[in-house]
Amino acid sequence: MRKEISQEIIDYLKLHNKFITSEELSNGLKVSKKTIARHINSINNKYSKPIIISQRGRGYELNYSNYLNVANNNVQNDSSTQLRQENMLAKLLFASPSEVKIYDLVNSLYISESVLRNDERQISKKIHKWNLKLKSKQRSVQIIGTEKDIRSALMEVVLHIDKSTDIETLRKNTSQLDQKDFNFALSQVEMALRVLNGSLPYPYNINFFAHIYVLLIRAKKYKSMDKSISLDTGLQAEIKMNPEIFSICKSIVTNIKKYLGFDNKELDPEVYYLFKYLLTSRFNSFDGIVLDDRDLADEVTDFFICKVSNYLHCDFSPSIKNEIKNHVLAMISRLKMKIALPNALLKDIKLEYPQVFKATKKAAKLVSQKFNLPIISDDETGFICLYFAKYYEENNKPNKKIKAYVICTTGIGTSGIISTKIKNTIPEIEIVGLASNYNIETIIRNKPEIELLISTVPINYQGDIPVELVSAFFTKKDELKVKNVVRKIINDRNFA
Amino acid sequence: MTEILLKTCDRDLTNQRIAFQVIAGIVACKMNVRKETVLQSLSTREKIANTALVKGVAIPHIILDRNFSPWLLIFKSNTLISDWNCLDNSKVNKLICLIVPRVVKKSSSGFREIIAIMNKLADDTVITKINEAENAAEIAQILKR
Repeated sequence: MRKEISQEIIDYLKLHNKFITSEELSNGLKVSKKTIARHINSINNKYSKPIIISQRGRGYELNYSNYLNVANNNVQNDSSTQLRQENMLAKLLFASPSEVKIYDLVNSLYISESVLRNDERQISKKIHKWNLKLKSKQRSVQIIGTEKDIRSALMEVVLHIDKSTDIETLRKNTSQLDQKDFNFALSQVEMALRVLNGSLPYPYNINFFAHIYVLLIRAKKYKSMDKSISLDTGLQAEIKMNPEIFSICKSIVTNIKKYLGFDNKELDPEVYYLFKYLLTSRFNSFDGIVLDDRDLADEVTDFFICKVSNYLHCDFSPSIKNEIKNHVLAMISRLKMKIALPNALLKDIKLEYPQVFKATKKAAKLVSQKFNLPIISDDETGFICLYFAKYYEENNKPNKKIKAYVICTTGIGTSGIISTKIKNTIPEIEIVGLASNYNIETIIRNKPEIELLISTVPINYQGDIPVELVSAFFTKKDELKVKNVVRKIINDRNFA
Repeated sequence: MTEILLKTCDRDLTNQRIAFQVIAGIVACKMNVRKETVLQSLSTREKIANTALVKGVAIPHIILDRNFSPWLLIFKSNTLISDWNCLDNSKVNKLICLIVPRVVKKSSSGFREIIAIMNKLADDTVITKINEAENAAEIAQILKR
């Protein structure tokens, strides 16, 4: 736990590249100021030169050159342990459900049995997220779990799909891979997309590739598949609705059998696993996938938008619904079919958009309860968060235009004249509407984003939004007055 | 541009009270309302804030509690209105009267046209042309262009 917070502090300071107050760090990382100070002391005590400098009244800043020095040394120590544990986990996952002899592990990894026991503890913690368990017997170790979960773990442990956002990075990250197998798996993805005349965006491209690749390497080592999947009536119904997708999956499995030189039917249930995966992916430009839950996706999307809007006090553009809806539809299928979708961007999302992620996570929890869906993971939440973050950032840009309403007695008279003049002279202002002074309360209630009211008549308004009274012809004097208010609003925004 | 949008009139108006009386008479007749109601509306709006712009142009408002399409009544006075000053200290002698319902519906006919004309009034060159116009009909033509 301590290590995680320390790392988060370093990451936060690295990202912001300036002095950050302890209050901001505390709010950003959701820990107390005391905890922040304790961890910063501990981080600095760990190294000969402090990597975080502090200044009274300004806060903390990362000393980047000191940080780079220690980071380079550290990577070597941490990464060798991590690499060894990953190798061990990969061996166990490939062998599962069979046991692996301790003798083999100790000899192949060049470690003592006491180091092995420590590694086992770390691996046990790590595989918990895939619902897998490590079972230690007297002289052997074994990973226990479903075939689907073992493959999900393999996708992350062997291919590091949780850290890559494109297939070529997977190739670079996994230099140990058999390039022939890698290329073959890639050719199958390309074939599927060609036949379906579609394209798969991130993260579906990487996941679909990883699924085929893991299928291939598992098939080489472990051939006894769980055949019960083919009897799943729900899945049979989906197959009837999506014959093209099923046909592609059959072709891929046939190609894999040819590639591996298998001529029996042992790999046939793989068609169903592959179908499940492809069905829950979002194709760009391919509308052929038919999913049953369109109405549910519609309701879930509305609920997400409503809740996140409330939590963030932000009005999202109606167009956001169309963008999220298709993602939500595919997500519902994944949740129902228990297909995990690792998110390589999750750490960055949490760090870059902490408020939006928190709001989306809160909404996701309610979505699961209200619509009786399985728990929505942080990975899935992260993907949905990105849709909101895009609009939220846009609305909260420090240099975004000031939204103003122009008021006169009619809403079409002098307000019309001065709005044209304002547009021509003060580009920092976006006029969102003209209105009569009789409607002022209603407008402010319905348009919470308004930051400035410019009026040609005195108005009776007691709220927080600044009101600037100008003449009916918006003279140079009026222009200067309004420019001053604009400057003040921009300063307040930056300060906030 | 519909005809209801621009009614023109040339008169000699010497002060604001007379100007309002003349405007009220025409509007009351056209809208079938009491002249006092129109007068009340004109003076109430003017007390809230001066509707005079620059170069002798003013845009007095008449706001009525009934549903109708907004329209404009244009006056050119051959004499300056002595007690009505513009922002540039010139005296008003061109009136572009805006007659609108209290609740202006965006869907109402004439709404877009009125907005377009108001946008034109934001242009200094249009104001200069209006200032040079010899009669109300010429002002209407400038605004219709």
